[in-house]
Amino acid sequence: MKLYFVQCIIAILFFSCVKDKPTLAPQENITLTETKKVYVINEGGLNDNKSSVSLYDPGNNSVIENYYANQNNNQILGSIAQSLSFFQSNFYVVINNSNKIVVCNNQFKKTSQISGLTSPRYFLPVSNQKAYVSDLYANQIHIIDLNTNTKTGNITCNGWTEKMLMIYNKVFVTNNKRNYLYVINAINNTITDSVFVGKYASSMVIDRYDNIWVLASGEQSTSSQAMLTKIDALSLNSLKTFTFNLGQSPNNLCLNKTKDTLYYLNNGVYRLTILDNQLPQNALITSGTKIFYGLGVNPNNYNIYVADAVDYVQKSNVFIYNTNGELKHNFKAGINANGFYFEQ
Amino acid sequence: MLQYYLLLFSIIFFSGKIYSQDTTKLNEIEVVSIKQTQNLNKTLKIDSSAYFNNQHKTIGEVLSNYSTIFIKNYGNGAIGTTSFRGGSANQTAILWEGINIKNTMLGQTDLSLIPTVLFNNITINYGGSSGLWGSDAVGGNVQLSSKNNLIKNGYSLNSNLSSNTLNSLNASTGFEIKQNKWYSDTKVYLTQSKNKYNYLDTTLSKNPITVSHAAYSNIGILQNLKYTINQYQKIGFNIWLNQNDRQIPNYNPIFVSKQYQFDRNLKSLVQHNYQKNKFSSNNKIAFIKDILNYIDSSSQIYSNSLVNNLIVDNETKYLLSDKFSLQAGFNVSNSKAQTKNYINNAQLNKLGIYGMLTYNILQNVTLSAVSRYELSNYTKIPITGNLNLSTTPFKNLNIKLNAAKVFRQPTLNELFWYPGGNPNLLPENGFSYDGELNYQLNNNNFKFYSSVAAYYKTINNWILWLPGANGNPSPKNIQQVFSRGTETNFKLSYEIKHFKIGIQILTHYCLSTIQQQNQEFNNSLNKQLIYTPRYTGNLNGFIILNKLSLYITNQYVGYRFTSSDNTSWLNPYYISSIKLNYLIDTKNNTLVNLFICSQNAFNYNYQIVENRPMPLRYFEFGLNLTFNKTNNK
Repeated sequence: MKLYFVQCIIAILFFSCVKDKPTLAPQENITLTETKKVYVINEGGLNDNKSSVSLYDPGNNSVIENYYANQNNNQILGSIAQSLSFFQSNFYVVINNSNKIVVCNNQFKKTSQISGLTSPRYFLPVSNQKAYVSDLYANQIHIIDLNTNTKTGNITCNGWTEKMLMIYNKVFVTNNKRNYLYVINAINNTITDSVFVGKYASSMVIDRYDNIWVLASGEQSTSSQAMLTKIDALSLNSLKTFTFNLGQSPNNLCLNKTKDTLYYLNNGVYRLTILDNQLPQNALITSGTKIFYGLGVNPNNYNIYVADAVDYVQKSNVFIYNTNGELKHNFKAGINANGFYFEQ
Repeated sequence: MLQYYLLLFSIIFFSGKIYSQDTTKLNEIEVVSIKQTQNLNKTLKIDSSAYFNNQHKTIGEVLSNYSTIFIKNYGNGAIGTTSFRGGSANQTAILWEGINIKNTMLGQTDLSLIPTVLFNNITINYGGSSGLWGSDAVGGNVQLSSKNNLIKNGYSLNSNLSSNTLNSLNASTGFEIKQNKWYSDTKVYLTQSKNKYNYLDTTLSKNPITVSHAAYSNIGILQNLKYTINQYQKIGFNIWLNQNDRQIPNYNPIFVSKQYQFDRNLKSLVQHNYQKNKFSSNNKIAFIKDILNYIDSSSQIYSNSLVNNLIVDNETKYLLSDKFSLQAGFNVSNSKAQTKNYINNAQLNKLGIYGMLTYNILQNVTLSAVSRYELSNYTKIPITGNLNLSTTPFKNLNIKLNAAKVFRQPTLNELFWYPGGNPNLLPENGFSYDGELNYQLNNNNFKFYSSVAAYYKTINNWILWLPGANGNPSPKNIQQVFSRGTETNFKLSYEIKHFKIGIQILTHYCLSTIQQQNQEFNNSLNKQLIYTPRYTGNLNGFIILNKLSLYITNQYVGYRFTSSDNTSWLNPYYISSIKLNYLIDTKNNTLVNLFICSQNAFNYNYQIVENRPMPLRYFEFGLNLTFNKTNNK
């Protein structure tokens, strides 16, 4: 029996190593100073219901984590928050895997919810009464009545519809599964035309001359090269096309404050002006071992915001660079930060 | 190339006939892997009472209650995988009759597809053993096999019928027959469950919520056939067919899940044993086919996959002297997978060769050394091996020490998945050291067993799926993980006449932390791995009085982190089951056991995996019937 006691002592010694109950440093009371705040949309992980919104104050570099939960009695936002839009004093948080859009007032308190969607991605108001919602699997664009926050119809569009923007009453829609940019008449909700832009077109912007820039990431398995295409929004003519080397997958196209400089991710952050005739050879900001997952350019001050997803299962890093690519600041956001909304 | 291996196997397979001297006679029909009997690592054999009381359960549930392996279980009928000594699910080898039965696309075995009733011999080998078993045997391995219950000619029947308050029905029948040189063991099983259980989610409702879309069914047959060719040679045939259909819930009362998973599995094995004088060999050919189809109609996902594995395995042992024995063997495998997520059909070929020298230094000291070399058409595999020492310095006291170089080869998905697969991945590899001190005492009516073990393991090139091009995840060799911990196992029982009482306490302390990683601003350094509890414990007890018996199991699982920076976690849980058996002996070689069981007896609301709530208390009831008839020949 002596041996038994020796074994017990050995076991107790080992068991006294680490306290099991984890603790978190309490979040400080944060006083927001900047009126033009930055909202970070955090996807969370698949099925983990850890979607969140972080509120960053550039004035004093402070962050409120889980801002939605804080403003809504710790309610869960859902699974995979894909995008955030602001329109008529309301925030629209598109929750992809929970098949819904959460509507909040300007204090981020939930006021309504739009349901009946398959796998929503992005929200675009096309009038004061009507919005479009793109969808990963529905093969359609949902039409939403903004007065009742209900789905009232759809526009058939096969494939994975993604980013949308509107100009001259035309809504332009990228489609990850097609080679074309689709054009919708926002008045009668019909597809009127399409423009070749390449495979995996996901992001686009409108420059200061009302030209549309579409970035298609390409597809390696079909040897489809990534493309950046400039399109005249009126005539729909392709004005300029840049082709990337095979194997490159640029994404997250953004514009600066004056809408004359384009930014995108291609491992690092790249930049070109809308007048350039060739793609940049070198990154403005190299990623190093970081994994850049989201990009935004603050329209108030030209600062570049880059989200680093790290390993998918921990809090993201957000890095803020100036226009020279110099790191100014960084902060922690929620899991898988993928985009930003900048108050103006 | 494969044809040459098959030819080589055929030569070895039939070479047993060359030896015909009649000096050693085998006692019974058992066709076993030599390696299974040669393991000098710490072992834990699941008790026959645990097997008997859990015939209607899955292997995952048994391992969870009667071993220190943490089972990451998504719910009744849902996926269950292992975390063995702080390793990932891919770092445990699940061996059926000595053959690794993982799904080679996923690199892991879903324990919910394995009914306990099929195997009356469940042994857990702790510690690294890649030298003997190749890839995956990093944290340890679990051996599943069927042992003959019949020594003499005759037959036996074992039937189980049970139900529970979750609208489940479980039925199984095993029939064994032995006739001279022939032995047959047939087992069929069926589980149908609506799995309508309650859970609490106070963010949604104050009242319990009934889960929907969680039904599952499992049906299958296992046939073991063994034949004694002569006193030196035996041959065995095993075939196992399994069909599992399950609904996958999303625990969202508003949006009903449309997710389904369908598994179809075929496992077949032919093996030959030869043993004569100082020479013994075991040769196997196995064919394993796994079909896994996943549907989520709401997301328009229709994923079908098929993987075929052909495995040829040889083990040969020769006793060089009283003190020395030499063992060697090879393993050739071909895995071929089809899925629309691979650009081309993916194929992984491997040849592994190992040699093992065992030396009995003294009467009570055994030393063994194993070395293994593997070649593969993908990934360069390091030379691996084990060094073991087993000694009994005093009566009843045994000490085991093991040092091992271990590895895990990347899975087919990690190599070939499109988009994101990375054919340039290196195998996870590292060193593992462990030791065990065990003591047992059998004193008339009193039995005592205690074991204390400690381990220390470092794994390099640990593979993680990280964000890649177009936001698609891609696996990368990213980090080094350092695992260390202790395990204890104490058993005490007392028996007198028709009364027996016993208790077992299992504990596991595990620190498994990320020691190195090459990302800036990554906050996972020195943090505990996700879904790896630091503390787990089991307290199991029984009382048997005449025909009545009471079995109680209790399990405690400590905090599990759900984010790699350890900023979010799941709370500990403590669950118990209480089972009451009543045995009826009809005096006709027939025993009938009636039982009633309360699962999660204290109605604990818990989650093993985040957002996968487990059932509150529910009840099971049923009967086991066993019938034996043997001839006195």
